[in-house]
Amino acid sequence: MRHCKLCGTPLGPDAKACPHCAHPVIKKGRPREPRSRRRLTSREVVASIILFLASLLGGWWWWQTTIAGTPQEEIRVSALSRSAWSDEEPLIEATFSPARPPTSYQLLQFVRQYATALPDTASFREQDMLSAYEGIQYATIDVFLQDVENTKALLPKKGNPRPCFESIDFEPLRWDGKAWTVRTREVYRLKSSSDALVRYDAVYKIILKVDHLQIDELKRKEVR
Amino acid sequence: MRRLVLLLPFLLLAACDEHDERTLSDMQAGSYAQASSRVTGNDPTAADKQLKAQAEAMLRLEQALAAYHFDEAILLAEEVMSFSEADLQTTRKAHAIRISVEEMLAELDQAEGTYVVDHAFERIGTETRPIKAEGEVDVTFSDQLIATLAFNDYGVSSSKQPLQDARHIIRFTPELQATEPLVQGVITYTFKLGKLEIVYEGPSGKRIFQLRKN
Repeated sequence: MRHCKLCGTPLGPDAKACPHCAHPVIKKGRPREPRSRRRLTSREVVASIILFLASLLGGWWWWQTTIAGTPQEEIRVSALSRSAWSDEEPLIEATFSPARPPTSYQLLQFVRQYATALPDTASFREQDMLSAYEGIQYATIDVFLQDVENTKALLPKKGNPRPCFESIDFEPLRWDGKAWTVRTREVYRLKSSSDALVRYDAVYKIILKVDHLQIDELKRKEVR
Repeated sequence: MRRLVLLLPFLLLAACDEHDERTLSDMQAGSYAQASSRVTGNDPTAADKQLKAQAEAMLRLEQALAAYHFDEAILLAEEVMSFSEADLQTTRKAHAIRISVEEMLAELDQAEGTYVVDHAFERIGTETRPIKAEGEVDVTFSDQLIATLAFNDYGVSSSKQPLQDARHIIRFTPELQATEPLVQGVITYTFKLGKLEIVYEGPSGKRIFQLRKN
């Protein structure tokens, strides 16, 4: 016989509440019989695989036709600012870190800016203040002096203006885990009566030294 | 068997479309040289192959842009944007470059033409006075922002020097400015709002020529 849980009054078999204190009687459900473990039939396995693959294909098809299939023109993209790809900002002064290394475009900009200033570098003479030229872009002063030696063709003849940087072309930029290698073809215009061109093939090896880019090695060859 | 069925979705998802994380993070940092130099495993997925191909194409695009090969840059931007299983950020960057380059080409088109001297000034110290100048300059741009400026009967009318008939090849910056050294001094060329300004700066002062498009 069951009793009220609150006051202990005996309860009838179908009582829904205690006749004495009106406490509700909650019927205990019969313990569920353990379900017999049934092995899945091979047909069920195949059906579930097919169902899963069908839902996967459906999802892929939806993604292709909606998101991936969206024409590029429909994605709102604004123009890259000109200062981001021109030489408006000098890369010599930019600071980086191993956690925030330079982008590949910044490396190309760094080399382009160096090449643009090459006629100034070429005019270095021993009596000049070395500190004005060594700056921060060379890993060693030997790299600088070697480049001065290799750019003698850019020295203006007496009575002629300084040569001008004309163009630069890049070969694929490479990264070997420690340094970047940039290969270029540089062209300079001599400002003389003949306006002749001087061409160089150059190979720059650039490293990130503490927080600045530095030219670690520079090979330059005049191309006739 | 039942366990296998439960694991199947995870196995399929794992094998399905995962990009190489390091390549992807290099690309999102703009380090395309690192991304394209990475050695992929023995059996790279199709997505990894596409990602690496996109990084290589983006590097070529950046090289063309850095060399100011604008027509080539547009073609390469389209190539970068054509990869279906690719990094969306790189795709958008290529798109942004393409728009910027198209704007640049439109500006170069506008800058080309014949300019006539409109005003001329001479500035010595703080004093500025107008001078009488004349002439025409034909401007044409070729690849890599290299302009040919053909001067026709150009110069100061009252000067003892003869009027100039010359052809100069000058490389401009993307801001459409150029500087040409003289033996003593410098010449600066600036295109702005359909006008061309040529400034001669020497030890004795400045001569400013303002030219309008004919």
